[in-house]
Amino acid sequence: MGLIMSMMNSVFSQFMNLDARLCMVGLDAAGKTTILYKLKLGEVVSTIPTIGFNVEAIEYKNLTLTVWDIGGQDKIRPLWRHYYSDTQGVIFVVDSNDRDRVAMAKDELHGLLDQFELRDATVLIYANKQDLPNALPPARLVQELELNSLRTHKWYIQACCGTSGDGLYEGLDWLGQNVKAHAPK
Amino acid sequence: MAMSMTPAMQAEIKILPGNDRCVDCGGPHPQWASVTFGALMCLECSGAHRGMGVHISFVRSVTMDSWNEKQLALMKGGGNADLIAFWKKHGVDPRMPHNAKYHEPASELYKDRLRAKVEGKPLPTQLPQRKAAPASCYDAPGGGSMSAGGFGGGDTKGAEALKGETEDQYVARQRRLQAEARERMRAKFGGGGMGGVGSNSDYNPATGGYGAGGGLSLGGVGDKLKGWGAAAGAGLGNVGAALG
Repeated sequence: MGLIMSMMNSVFSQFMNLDARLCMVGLDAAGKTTILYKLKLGEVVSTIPTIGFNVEAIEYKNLTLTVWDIGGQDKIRPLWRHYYSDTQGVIFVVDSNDRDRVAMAKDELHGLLDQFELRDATVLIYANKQDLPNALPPARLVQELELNSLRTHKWYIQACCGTSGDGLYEGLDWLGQNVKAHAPK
Repeated sequence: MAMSMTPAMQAEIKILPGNDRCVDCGGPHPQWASVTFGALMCLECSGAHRGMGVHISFVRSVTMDSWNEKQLALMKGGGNADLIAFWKKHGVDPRMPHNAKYHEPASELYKDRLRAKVEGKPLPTQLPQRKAAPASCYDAPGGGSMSAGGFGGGDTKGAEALKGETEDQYVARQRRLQAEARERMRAKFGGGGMGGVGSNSDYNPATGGYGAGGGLSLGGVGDKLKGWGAAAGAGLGNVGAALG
């Protein structure tokens, strides 16, 4: 029965317009703002550190994603939780080139998913900056971020390069299939 | 142990020669730091530093990030005036666009010397070999004061329109830069493009769905398993990891 329902759901979702609210978080300089505006405008904007947040509605296929891009500096990370309520999905951006801080990214990601408000959230991880010389491939990041220990959430890690746009839509494709989107209110 | 900078620590760094101005553009009251270069800079220039990647410059906010001992030592050992004097000594114009300037051999040497200094090791003196600055499509802003110095009409690798550039020329240049970035990634990962790994092994990124239907679906799994082997070698592939 559950299978039939989920199949029906996926058939209907091909035609219906759906809304989802997503939070995009990650350590500072992971590339969140660049990804947001690459998706929104198709352009590379020159960014400065985000103090606060950016929010954009992104139309993709039959989905309207409201993406909240929240600043990642150490002292503003505790503010992330104020954006979690009514969030169906999390986009966690990792700077794959920043090997020294992968462990810190892991701690932030696991801490994030312990939050009650995000218990049902679907998690897309962008392994960003794959064009840079020291970038870890996604298979390595699965280990470093200990993704296989995440039993409570659906997750997917997608290699990408925010500046060229490679991989971004592949990630959204997965989100579109997996996020619990709802009909517009 | 990471901690916030106390006002006393901030004062100790701000008082170093040249640290009252952004190391790149000369703007007042810099609040951001390149730990790698032990230098202070403004918000806008910190954006350009972040765009180059942490292997070139690691950026922290003086007030909004926590700092560890090593990072603080680099800031105390450096200073904007020191870096600018080093550039000038090696014939590097301190007002060059960020990406080109920080890929100069002199910049790399300065970085290595600063690290050696705080680690108490002998200072390297040999300029490293010149490497071409990568054609990053996420480069220093090309407009404004940065292009005023006459570097062939600004930063041609930058994200912003150059002076006198038409919309069509701008779009063509961005397309070319994107194609170059894609080519670099193809060289690195092969034709498979950007891979992904997920909690559900049934997901097929090629179709964006679960299973491709019938025999194709089975074939997809086989491909994915093959991809896993390739991923171990080449570092990237489409892999499914079953949720236990």
